Amino acid sequence: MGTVTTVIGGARSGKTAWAEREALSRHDKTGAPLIYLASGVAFDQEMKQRITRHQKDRQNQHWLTIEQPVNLTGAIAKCPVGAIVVWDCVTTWLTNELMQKTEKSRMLHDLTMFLRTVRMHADLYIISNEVLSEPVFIEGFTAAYQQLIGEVHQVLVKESNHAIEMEAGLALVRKGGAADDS
Amino acid sequence: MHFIIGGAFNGKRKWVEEELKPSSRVEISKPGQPVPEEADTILFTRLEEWILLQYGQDEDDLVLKWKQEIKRLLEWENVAAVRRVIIIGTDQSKGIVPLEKEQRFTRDVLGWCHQHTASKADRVTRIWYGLSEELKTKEDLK
Repeated sequence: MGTVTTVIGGARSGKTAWAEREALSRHDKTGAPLIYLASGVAFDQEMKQRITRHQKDRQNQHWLTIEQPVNLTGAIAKCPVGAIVVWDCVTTWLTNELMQKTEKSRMLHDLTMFLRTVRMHADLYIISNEVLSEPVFIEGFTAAYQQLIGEVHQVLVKESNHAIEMEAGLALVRKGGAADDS
Repeated sequence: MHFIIGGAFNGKRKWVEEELKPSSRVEISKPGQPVPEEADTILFTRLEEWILLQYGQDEDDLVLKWKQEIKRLLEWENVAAVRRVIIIGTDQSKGIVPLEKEQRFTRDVLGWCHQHTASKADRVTRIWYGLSEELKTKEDLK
């Protein structure tokens, strides 16, 4: 049985770097394969640059990248037994699904299924964006998106062994003590 | 008085219902709103909506109105030991400065109101995606 760690933080708060560092240090101890589960797809130049920047950060390390922009459960079989999986990131996945007009119940079902299945045989680090500390929209696409993110974050925090709030590169442990315990 | 603070859709109300189990509560969302005799808990919510409706008024006057409301609520609470005031505040303070003037106005006034509420409350709890963190308890006041 693996552990699940959720990291939620603002843009450029260092959440991906933190999760990768934690995953690497676990890898150094156990030698387990490192998987980078990417939700981002390079549909424009800016996204390409963002992806390149993150790829550069992972250079010279033994990461295997799985690209899974939608249909999260499709990633389950691709995560090897005993792996350390870093999923980057929840908000991008949600956006991709919403663009495809996926039903909300389907997304929540896929997420729960993914969490409960992968944790049976792997360690999971889940990265998500903090987007709810500002005025929320009252109606329309963004309002629905914000509400969905709130619900998804509550599910993630509930299901996780560890929950971290990232502030300016500092990991504030909200649940589960030091992220290294299992 | 117990102040609950956290971002939108973070599970604040759910936490209040599950952890505080308010019994015969009345929910109000406007300063000065009358409270029925039989209620023993006042739940104040959606302050930001009231502030937005006051757009155009003087900001300091509004904060003053809120301070008077806090005074009224505390006086009501002090009448009987069973009485309780719970205020749920939706934090809007950490994002990009909104483009719309009305939103900036609301965000500013709300922030000042929240500061005052926290200073007067004897318990302040922050909710982060269902998890609670005590920011201030009665022990801190001693």
